[in-house]
Amino acid sequence: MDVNKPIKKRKSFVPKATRFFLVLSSIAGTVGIWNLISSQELAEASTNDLTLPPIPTIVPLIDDSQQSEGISQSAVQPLPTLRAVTPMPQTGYSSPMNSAPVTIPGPITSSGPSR
Amino acid sequence: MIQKGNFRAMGSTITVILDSDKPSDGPVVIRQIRHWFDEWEDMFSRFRPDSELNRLNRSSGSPFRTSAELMDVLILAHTMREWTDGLVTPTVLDALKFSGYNVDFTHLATDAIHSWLNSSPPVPESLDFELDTSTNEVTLPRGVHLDLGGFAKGWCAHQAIKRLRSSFPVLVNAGGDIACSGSQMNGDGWLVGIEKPYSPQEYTSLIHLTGGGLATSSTEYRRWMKEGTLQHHLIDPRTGLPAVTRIISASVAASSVMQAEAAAKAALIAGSTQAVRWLDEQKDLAYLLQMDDGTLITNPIFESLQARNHDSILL
Repeated sequence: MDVNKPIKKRKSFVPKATRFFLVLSSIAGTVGIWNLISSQELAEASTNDLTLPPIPTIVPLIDDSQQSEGISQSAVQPLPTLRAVTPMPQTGYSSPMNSAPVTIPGPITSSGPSR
Repeated sequence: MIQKGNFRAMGSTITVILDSDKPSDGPVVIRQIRHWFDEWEDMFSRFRPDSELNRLNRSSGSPFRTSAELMDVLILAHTMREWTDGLVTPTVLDALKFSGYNVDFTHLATDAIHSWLNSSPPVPESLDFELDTSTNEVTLPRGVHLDLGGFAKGWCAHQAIKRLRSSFPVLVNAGGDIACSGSQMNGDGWLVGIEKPYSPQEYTSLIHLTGGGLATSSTEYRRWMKEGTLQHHLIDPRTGLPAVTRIISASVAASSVMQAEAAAKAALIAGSTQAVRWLDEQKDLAYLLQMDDGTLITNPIFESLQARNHDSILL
């Protein structure tokens, strides 16, 4: 090994400290710009009027005028508008919409054709 | 504590429900009511040859001394006949037999009825019968015979609760004719279902019964074929034939089960237009009419009895 051979030193044009400063300022700049933009949008939004869409009108299910005139004291409803009431003599029922069991008292007896 | 039992009598299922803290009350009460119904069936059945009713029918044209119970039912039938303008009357036995209902319904073949020789249904000239309450005597016009079917069942249910109501709340359901003594011990009404025609496991409505009675008349069940024509057990006394009506089922709640039974039958026989007018005139009746096209007709009193708080769970 030739100890007298001169050591070749690499030249560094940008010092390490400068490079660190450039990276830092780049990140800070990016964050700062985005922060400024978002603040500007928020400020613009808050100055606009809030115009919500109208609430849908509630439509009556039964039109009184459709009732028969001859039976004024009575309420006439077509069968499909009423729920079919299923007998539930036992006390446990789990609704598919609600996993918690609900206690249901079924009818204790019923009236129908004499059987 | 709700206790419940069933037995068969008068061609129907009889259900007894009582609210008592003593578990021993249930079996005793049900046995007692069954005994009463057996006694009453001996008096009022047209299918027991030696029943008091059949003896009365055989005496047609002559005075007949009745038991206090039979006189009571006859007075009831007479009163209901007046109230319903003659639409509900016990004097339709011959017309009922003519239409083919001449044996207990459980033995009635639905497709093979032995026709009578008559070519037209018998309609008695006089639908009235004389009652002498001082002597317990009744005289049927010659040729008139009585069927006490619905009257007797309602009367029996009413008698049973009347005898027991001082002990505990009780409800008796005699083949759909329901009498109740009042609310349950906790103050709640009895939740009763009104059956959907042709679908007895489903209910059209649930109502709270806190007293009086509820009855349903229907052409749906007790019906049969005669010479290719569909017949049912609700005779229109104006024609002597099964009523032609668009009402499949009429349910009425009233201050007593006897009144409810007569009103329900009258409504069904009268037909929808007349029925609604007549029922509304009575003011204190709650009714639900189920029509042949699926339409339901109710009045505000009935709607006030409906168990609306059950809607959310009956999906």
